[in-house]
Amino acid sequence: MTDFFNNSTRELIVNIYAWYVFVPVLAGVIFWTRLSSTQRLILYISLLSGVNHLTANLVMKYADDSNNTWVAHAYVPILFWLMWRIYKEELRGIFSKRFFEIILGISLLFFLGNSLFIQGFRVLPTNGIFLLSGIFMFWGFSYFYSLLRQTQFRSLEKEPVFWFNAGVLMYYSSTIIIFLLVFNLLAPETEATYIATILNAFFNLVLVTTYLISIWVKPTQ
Amino acid sequence: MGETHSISAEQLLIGSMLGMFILSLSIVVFFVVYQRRLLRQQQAHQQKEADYQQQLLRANFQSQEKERNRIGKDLHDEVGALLTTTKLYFQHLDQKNDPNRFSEIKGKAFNMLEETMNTVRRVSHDLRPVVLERLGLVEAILNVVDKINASGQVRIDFTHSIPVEPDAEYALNWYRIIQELINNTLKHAGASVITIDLRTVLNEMILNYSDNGKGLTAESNTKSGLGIQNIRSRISLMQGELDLKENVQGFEIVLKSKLKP
Repeated sequence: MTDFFNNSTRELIVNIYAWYVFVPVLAGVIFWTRLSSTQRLILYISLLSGVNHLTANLVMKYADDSNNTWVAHAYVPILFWLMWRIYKEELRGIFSKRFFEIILGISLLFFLGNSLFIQGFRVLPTNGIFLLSGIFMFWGFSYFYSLLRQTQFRSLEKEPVFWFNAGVLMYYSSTIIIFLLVFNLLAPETEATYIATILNAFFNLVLVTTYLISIWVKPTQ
Repeated sequence: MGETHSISAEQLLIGSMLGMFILSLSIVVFFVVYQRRLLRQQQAHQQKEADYQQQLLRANFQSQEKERNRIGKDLHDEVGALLTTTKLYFQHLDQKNDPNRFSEIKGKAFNMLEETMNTVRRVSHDLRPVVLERLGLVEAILNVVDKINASGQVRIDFTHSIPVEPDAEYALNWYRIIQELINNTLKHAGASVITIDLRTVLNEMILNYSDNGKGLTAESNTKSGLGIQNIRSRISLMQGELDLKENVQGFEIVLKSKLKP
């Protein structure tokens, strides 16, 4: 196990991710004119993920204070808001606008409260990420439920939101355990954190691939 | 001991993460496969629907052409012949003729004109049933039934209970459907008794039509025959239902539709 889950593997996979995360952004810029409003939101999410990763690395390398967790504290609510906009539109058939507004309000308050009073800016906001993952999983399952309820069927492979949702569900259901247990309970630089980081980066590659596909596909009219 | 415990925790971590990943991947794959299957079914259904609509449309055009041919034939063979004969009589009308001969030819010409007028009226009534417009659906059907009963070829038992007159367009459709059914029985069934029961139940018009003829044989073309296609087409226009009874003695059909669009 240690042969694979070590620092060099982590460096390699994180470096691949650092470049790969901008591929959907590049695709989005190329296809900009034909992108739907949802695809543009997916592009913004990809851009946000890339900027988040880049900023966190730059802060760690060049800033006087190498603690970069404040970047994640800024990233979490913006990511949540962008995702919220996509799912509010996609799930309007099963949840009311008010329901989404309440979820947004409570979550943003929690993120802020967690950053200011519970975990603070110098610790990774695992509580916030855990809540966000839980909500994204709920929305992900709800999207599939909405597919079951539809009467007019369409080819899912041409639906940007299907790919996006598949990626979100796979990534957040696989990594929720990391933010619940590993980063919260275990000491840093243990084998468990190596495993967690490498697997997280691997699942991130899967997520970015689904972002890329969802921007690439031409939705059926 | 401590090391063993640490390795187990890592294995558990990898296992649970990969497990969750595979589980969610399976859900995604299931949905793709399931949706593809439903999509194929939907497309097959739409194709069937389109074929059916095309069949109805074709039947409509064919029936229109058939009707035009019939009217053309009626005008050419009957009205045309009568007018030609009348013209001949008029050519022989000469003031110089013997007065008796003159009035004889004039009388014949008038009779011919009278006959022509009757033929034109009959053709026109076939095209547009005046009784239906003036007296309603039941009277129009009774008119057809009486004519056929008077011929003695078959006996038609017509019962009805229609307290509310259907929409004019629907009434015409019902009239044509019954005409078509009677025509089919007379042409193909070799029946001696036809039973027609037309009634309204709540907001629905229900027609029970049966005869004691030879019924639907293996050769009967119940799906693509022009007559039945016309009936299907009219029922479809009224968003109604057609139930062709099988395994019965003779022929039996039940038709339903709303009273108004």
